[in-house]
Amino acid sequence: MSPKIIALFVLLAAVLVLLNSWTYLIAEESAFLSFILVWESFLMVVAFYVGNSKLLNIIVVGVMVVLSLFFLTASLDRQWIKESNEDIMRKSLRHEYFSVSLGKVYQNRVGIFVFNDLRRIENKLSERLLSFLDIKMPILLVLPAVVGFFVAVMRPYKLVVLVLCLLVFVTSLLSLTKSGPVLMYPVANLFSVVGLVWTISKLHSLRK
Amino acid sequence: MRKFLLVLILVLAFGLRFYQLGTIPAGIHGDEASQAYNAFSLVKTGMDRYGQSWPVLFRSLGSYQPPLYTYLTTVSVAVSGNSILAARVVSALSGVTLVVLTFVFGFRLKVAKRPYYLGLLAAFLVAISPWSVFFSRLAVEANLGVALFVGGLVLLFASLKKQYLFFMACLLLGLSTQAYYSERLIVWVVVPSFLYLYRVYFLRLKSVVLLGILLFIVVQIPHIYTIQTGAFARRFNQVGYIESGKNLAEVFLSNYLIYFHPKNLFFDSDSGLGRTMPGLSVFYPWMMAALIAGLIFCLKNLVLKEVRFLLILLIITPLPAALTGDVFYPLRTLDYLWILTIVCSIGIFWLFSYLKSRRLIVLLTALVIVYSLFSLGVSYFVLFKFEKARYYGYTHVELVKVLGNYHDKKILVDSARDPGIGVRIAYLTGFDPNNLQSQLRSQMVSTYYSDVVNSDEVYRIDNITVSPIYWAKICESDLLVGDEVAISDSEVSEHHLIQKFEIKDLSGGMRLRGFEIDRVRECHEEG
Repeated sequence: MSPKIIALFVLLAAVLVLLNSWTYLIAEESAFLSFILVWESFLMVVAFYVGNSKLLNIIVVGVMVVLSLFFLTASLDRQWIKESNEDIMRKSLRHEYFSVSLGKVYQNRVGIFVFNDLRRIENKLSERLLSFLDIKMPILLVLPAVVGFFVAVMRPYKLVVLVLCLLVFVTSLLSLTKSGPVLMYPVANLFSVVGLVWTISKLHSLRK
Repeated sequence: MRKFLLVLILVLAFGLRFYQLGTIPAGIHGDEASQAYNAFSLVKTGMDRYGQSWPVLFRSLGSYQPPLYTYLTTVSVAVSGNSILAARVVSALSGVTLVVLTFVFGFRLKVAKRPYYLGLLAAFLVAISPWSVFFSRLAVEANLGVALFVGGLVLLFASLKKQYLFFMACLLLGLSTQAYYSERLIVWVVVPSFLYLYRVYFLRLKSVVLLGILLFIVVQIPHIYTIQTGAFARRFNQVGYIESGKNLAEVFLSNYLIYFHPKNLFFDSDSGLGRTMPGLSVFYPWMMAALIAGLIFCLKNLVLKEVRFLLILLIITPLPAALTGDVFYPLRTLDYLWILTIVCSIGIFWLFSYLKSRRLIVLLTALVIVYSLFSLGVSYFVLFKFEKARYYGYTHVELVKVLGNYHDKKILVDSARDPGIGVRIAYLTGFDPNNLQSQLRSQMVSTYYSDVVNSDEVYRIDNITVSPIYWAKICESDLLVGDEVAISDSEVSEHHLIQKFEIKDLSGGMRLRGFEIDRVRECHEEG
């Protein structure tokens, strides 16, 4: 892909960043962080369309790893595994339901662990793994981002999938502020650009 | 081996839908009882509980119920009497039928090299999907609707080889609009889309298409009749937001997109009656990966007409639910959930095609099956049974048994917050339909088919009166029955009530209490 076209895509990314209310939400909390995330977004767009540049890929992944480590030390959520008061109340009620319905299958150490604790951890884990979906983008940018996700995943350039998996995992370990899962911001921007470019090109080919 | 697997899936589907069907959900919902009593009334008198002969829409609890489910329930009620099981049999059978139809649909879907296994996989996923199990165990018209709709789709595809099946497809799709509301909109978009996609084939069969459409329109005649009366749109006016004064485009878009949000589909659970069960959403969490894979496969294979048709269905089917005000209401999107299940099965099939080791495939499949059935068993057959009993009038089912001890008393059962209590008791006691017809007919504030339907009828079932409690008139009764909101502790002391019994729901919460009135102190009668 020619550098001119890639520059055009970066310009598109810049427009989307400016239109994205999430940018300002992050900037309110930390202008420096928003600055880094915006530049990481541009880098991701360039890396995605260039595709085979080792240096770019290393920089993109490197920045995300550093950001992830920073957030893991600064806002790691150590409380999630603990039982809340609501959990304890629910557990004691359900203890009776399981005892009545399952009898000896439940009334032993393994049964109690599996039916109560393991299920609670599993539910909380899946809840947390989904926290990356709480992105603060306007709906009009989410739609191209969804399209962009599928287009990006279908491409042979698999670095996006790798970065996405890493970010989903790291985000699930963090306690989020009102800015939401900020680590997802660059990827979300990338997907918006990819989705928009794909849609425009499809519409263009239809007109022909 | 292949046939054995199919039989195994059907046995599983049957078991998950019929095991303790009469006792889980614990109780019977007002809408279920309404359909079942109307079926009972039709069997005995040829009229519904309002005395209407063979209605095309059933007046019920302030609205209307589509007719097909009630008519089919006449068979089960006639055979097994007024039981909770009889009310739910049609839905459970629809669920099993849907599994069979899904197998045929997947088998005919030419997107995989081994279509038989895709059919088996799709059938299996529908058989164990939380949404399908959940709604198959409730007497809901939507479950019959989705079975007929899928039956219509199967026949549409089959008509590409045997043209006469197009008539059958039109008939079934037409009937699906008599089974549930969502299909009334969906079918009108699905049939033209299918005809357009396969236009080269159907343009050669103009007379077949015209006759099929004519047949479809004939089945719509009852709708055309009720449109004039206002009854057709009554339910939509109740649950829609067109007259709410909100920004319609904004509400519609947000309500529509909600049906695509992974949290709602795979993770959120248990936030209301029309959803699913504690701890499980409409799909298992692992199915999210299958859906993503399935969508990627579909996008990669857009040249296939079957894939394009599936994507059209995926876009169209959440539309009716998005037109209603409830946020994420799976009951109204069963067609959509079914399409998603098909896409999931395509996704799994595609992912498995990358796995070379058969052992790994077997191991993964076994793990997923064990996990899914375990989750379903715990969530539905234990937690849902206990925690959701209050939504299904369990206490009122138990009340019917208790009231058998008070034949000589005039009983008043409060129905201020649940208009379904009267019909529930009438159904469970097998109350004479002729008697109820004369009572309810006289309480109608409008003609049978109308856009104004009252739900405040008083039911007099032998010695039991079901109506809101009016404290000034309590001396007309001997025994008052209500929950803690209807009869609070302060009212107990103020009106000199003596507690005779208490019925708790399965979770130990929501109690129904029966009180005798101290007639000497409250009604100033001589002792």
